[in-house]
Amino acid sequence: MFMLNKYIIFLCIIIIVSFTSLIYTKELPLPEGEGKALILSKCNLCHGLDVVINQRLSKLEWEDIVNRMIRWGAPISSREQEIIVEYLYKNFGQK
Amino acid sequence: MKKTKFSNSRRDFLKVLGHLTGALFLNIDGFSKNLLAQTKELTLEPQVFPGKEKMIILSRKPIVLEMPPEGFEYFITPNELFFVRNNTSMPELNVKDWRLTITGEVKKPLVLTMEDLKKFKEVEALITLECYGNGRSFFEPKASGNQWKKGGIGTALWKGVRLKDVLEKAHLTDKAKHVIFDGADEPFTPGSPDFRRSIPIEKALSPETLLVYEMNGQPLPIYHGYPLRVVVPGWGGAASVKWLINITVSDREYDGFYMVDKYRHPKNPVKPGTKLSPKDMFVLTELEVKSIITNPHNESKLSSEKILIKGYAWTGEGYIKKVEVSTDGGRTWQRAKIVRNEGKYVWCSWEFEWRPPQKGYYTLMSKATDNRGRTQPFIPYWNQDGYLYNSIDMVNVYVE
Repeated sequence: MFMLNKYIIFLCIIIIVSFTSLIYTKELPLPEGEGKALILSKCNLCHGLDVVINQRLSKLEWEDIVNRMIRWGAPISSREQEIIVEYLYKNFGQK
Repeated sequence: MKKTKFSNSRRDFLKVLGHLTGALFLNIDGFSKNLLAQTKELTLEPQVFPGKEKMIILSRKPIVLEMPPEGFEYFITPNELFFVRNNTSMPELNVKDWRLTITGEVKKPLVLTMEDLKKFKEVEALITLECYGNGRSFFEPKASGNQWKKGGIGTALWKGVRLKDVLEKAHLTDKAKHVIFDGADEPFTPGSPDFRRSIPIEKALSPETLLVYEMNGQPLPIYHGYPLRVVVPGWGGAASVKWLINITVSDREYDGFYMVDKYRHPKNPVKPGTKLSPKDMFVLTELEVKSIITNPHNESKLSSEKILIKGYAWTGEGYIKKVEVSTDGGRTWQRAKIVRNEGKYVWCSWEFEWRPPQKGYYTLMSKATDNRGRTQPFIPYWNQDGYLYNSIDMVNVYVE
């Protein structure tokens, strides 16, 4: 009986660990990295994150999008622009 | 990396344990949503929108919701399954305070209450609306924007009045060439462009262009423009401005952001991946001819006897002449049967009974042709914003 309880607890721990890691990898909106804070503070002003994370685009496409956003008024410096494009292509690139 | 904050208390531990064991025996999806609701910092919120619980969320800010495949079971799309494509915030308007103003190139500007508006002749019409970006996710290379699959479309029974009747009451001047619509919605950040679009006067005066206040027998839901929206049939949804408060008649096409920078298409066909400036593109107008297969679903396993292939077909300015189906990857084509045809501006439902010759893996295709001889291509015009996708639809199936 004691062995059985121990087994159940062990099984539960395994399940909890595997499900929480599943949530981390699948549902975390933005992966860590240089650029994440910029996206949260600048891009998120005018639109949500869904449209960012649901796309897989080439580097040229991401460059074009960020350029367009700047043209449309996004307060992004040229250094920030580079960081954002790198981050977007690395995490949401069509490779 | 941020960590999920699970409470240490025994009760919460047991609650989570309960969810976990439930998940093992019930369904993983429901479970993970439930658990995610408790770990807000890791998730995108909200998980569902009231009245639109079954929709696929493409964006929360602005709200963009795609109809799930089950929506295609209905010829008239229920309001709770009708797609939403907002560009800005969604205003909550009180119809008592609401007014519609008609200004610009008119001899008699008008300010109308809802009561005034309802004094015009009431009309009711089935009209299909499709987002210009519907099918964007199928473009290769990928085009930027909300990644719509097939569900950026729906058909509703709209009730309202003719825009023409209202414009005529305001007496257009000789300079009236375009009609600009403005809704009460606001951009998310001050200084960002407002959502305003215009249509040419000919389309505005078409008896089928409506100002509607009811959708499928209900007051227009907030998602769809309560209390009043335009419905411009045969054109992409963006032309049908929601939460309408002002109509300005103008001597020229509106030149705001949503006309000059968005909803444009290359003047000449371009190599996929090419970037163009607005001057090399034109403002989108009518929709393309298009059909989709709604049954069977892609990659499904079917028995080898009789298989019913079903779908819809629609076009912009015109009507569907025929729908053809291929069950051998485009080698041969046969006519599908049009099941329900409500005429211009409404999708047709069609079906095709197929008896597979033998077991195997098949590519089913559908291709619609309209009365102007326009038909669906194998290769749609690639454009940087991914509008007007209308390639021949393809669904792969296993016959066992």
